[in-house]
Amino acid sequence: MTMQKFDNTTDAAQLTALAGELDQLLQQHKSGLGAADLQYLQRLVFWQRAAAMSGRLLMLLCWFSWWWLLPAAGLLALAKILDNMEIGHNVLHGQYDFLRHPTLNSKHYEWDIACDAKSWQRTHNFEHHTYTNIIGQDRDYGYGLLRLSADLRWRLQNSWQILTYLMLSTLFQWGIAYHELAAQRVFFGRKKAERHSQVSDQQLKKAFFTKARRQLIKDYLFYPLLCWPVALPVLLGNMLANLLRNWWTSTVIFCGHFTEHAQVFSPEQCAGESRGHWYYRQILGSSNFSGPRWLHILTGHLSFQIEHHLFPDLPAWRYPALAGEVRAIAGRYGIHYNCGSFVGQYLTVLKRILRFSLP
Amino acid sequence: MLFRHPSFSAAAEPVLQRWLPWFSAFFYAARILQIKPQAGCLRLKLRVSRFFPLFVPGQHLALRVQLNGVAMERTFSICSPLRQLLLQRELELAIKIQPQGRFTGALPAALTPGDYVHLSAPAGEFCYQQGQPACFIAGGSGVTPLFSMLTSVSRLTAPLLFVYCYRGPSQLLFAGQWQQLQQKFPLLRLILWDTTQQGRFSADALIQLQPDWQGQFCLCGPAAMTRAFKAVCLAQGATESQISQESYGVAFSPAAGTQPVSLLQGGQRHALIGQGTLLERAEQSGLAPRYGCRRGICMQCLCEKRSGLVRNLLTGEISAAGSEQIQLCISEAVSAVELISEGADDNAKV
Repeated sequence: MTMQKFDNTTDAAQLTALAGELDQLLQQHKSGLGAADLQYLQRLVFWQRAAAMSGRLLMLLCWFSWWWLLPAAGLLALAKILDNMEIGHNVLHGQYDFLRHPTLNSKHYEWDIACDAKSWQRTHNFEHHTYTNIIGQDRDYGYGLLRLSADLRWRLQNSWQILTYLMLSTLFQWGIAYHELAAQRVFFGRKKAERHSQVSDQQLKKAFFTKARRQLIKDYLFYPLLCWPVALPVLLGNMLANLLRNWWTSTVIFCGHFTEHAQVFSPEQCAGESRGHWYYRQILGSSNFSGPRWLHILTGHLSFQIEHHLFPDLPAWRYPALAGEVRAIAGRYGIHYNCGSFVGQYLTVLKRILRFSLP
Repeated sequence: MLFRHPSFSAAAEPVLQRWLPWFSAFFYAARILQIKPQAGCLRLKLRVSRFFPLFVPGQHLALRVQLNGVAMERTFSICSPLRQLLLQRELELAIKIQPQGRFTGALPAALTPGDYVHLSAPAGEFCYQQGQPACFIAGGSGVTPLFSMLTSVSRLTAPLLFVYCYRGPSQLLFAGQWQQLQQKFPLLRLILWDTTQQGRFSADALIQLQPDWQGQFCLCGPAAMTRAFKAVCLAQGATESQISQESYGVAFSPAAGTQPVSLLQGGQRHALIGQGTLLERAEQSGLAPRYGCRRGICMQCLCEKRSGLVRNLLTGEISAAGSEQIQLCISEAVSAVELISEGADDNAKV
């Protein structure tokens, strides 16, 4: 669970060969992109809208019985999960940019979550995907709150980090929304000298509050007032939907890089790394889980985290088709391919959080 | 639901499209009435809705077609008269087919009458003001906007010299209609110049035709041709304001990295200096485009290319010539390139 000892100078030839094989695999699958991707995306967005609208309409039935709240909030949560994971995450990665769709592209899409899409692209697409699992460079590793590796210094607050984790999970959308502002020390803390940003604190604050206000007004003011006599159930239903989405997304995302065998790296190991080393690091730092197709769709195919980290701009619904080949390539180079069941992987995440809460 | 969408129709689009596949919140839908190959071109007759805006004859629009799921867009001049739009809600385009072209090469197989395509609103400054002597010079498919200008006129009140250069009878556009136009407009002096018979239409040939050098000049054709005739007009005493022109075609050059690149930002045009990737060149020119990993992973530097060819440095692939999104950090220009930056609503400075 500590840093992988891997010398990237002696194995340069192997890494070049690895990059060659993975590049070839990518090209092979890229050449097949086209109408099927558009059809998949359009169907997905249709069902997302259908779930959102039916969920919001069902909430009106709380006029007759409060029991309607459960299916209604469930449908709305489903809509938010589909929007955030399989649609939002993947569209904002630029996976569907080649379709040149006027809204479903990485520049113009805005998702149904508190986090501003542009801010997320900077912290996730750039920081997390470029410096995956590099201690000190990838802030997504523990989100600056959790100690998940022996390479991080133990502090007193780590002793109760399982509670911090449960809190983060419950408020996950706000955690993500605040992530970049925390990194830039916009409100609290001393500025870090080595951090540079193209976006000023002023712009960060503006984007944060604009998006937060819009989301809060929508879920907790506009829709409740629109359905006035049933305002309270609608408000509670929206809150429940947001909560379910938060729990689900955080659970899935924690299974991506914080499982037992996911490796971490030091900045020195990765300074001036080759494309092959980057690929190598993505395989070792990520973990997959298996399950039926609907589960993969609900996770936005982040259940294929390894494939996603190797090919972040390939449409995610194609990952299952290339997972076999990626696994075979990893096997040929003796790189551990981390895959298990959803529950199994999640238990190792909890184990990891608990293990590193102690020095 | 509406809160994160640009408009109500954009929010409704994914639902409506399930039953009305032609629906678009951003483009005008048009139904194909007729497709006819003519003189190396595809003549498209389109029916538009009554919400389609009026155009000024000579303007162009973007034709957007889905080819294997990918929305491809190219700009074409309208070749039909304004009257046809007003009375029948019809538009016509004459699209030069490049058999190797990614867009026009695929069109004949992709379109059938009854299909829907999407159009942008008409745009462009290229137009003809009636009531003063004028001279039109068209090269090849450059005749299309000039044809729209001419046919939109109900009565000519000043002499018009119309020179149309074409490469052999098989390449003559609007073949059946020239005779009628000549009969309709006594003030029209029509020169159909077949370059396979008469050779290239030269500056001397134009001077011999004695156009009114104080009148208006509308030039449309390949870039080299419009440039040459503009120089002739200027040399003969015409002023810049008398000449309007439109040209097409990009010049590909394998010597990459130093091609002229312009970046449009908030109404200002910046010419990029230096060499290297487009991102490096923008920075060398004192601009600050948004970037992230600088190695093609994170899509932070995505930028709209309006025209021109770029090479992807990761794959070596050469792009198409039309508008598309490109990653600045791994692209270098291999022809003149025009980029558009979104400016204000974007988080970064460019």
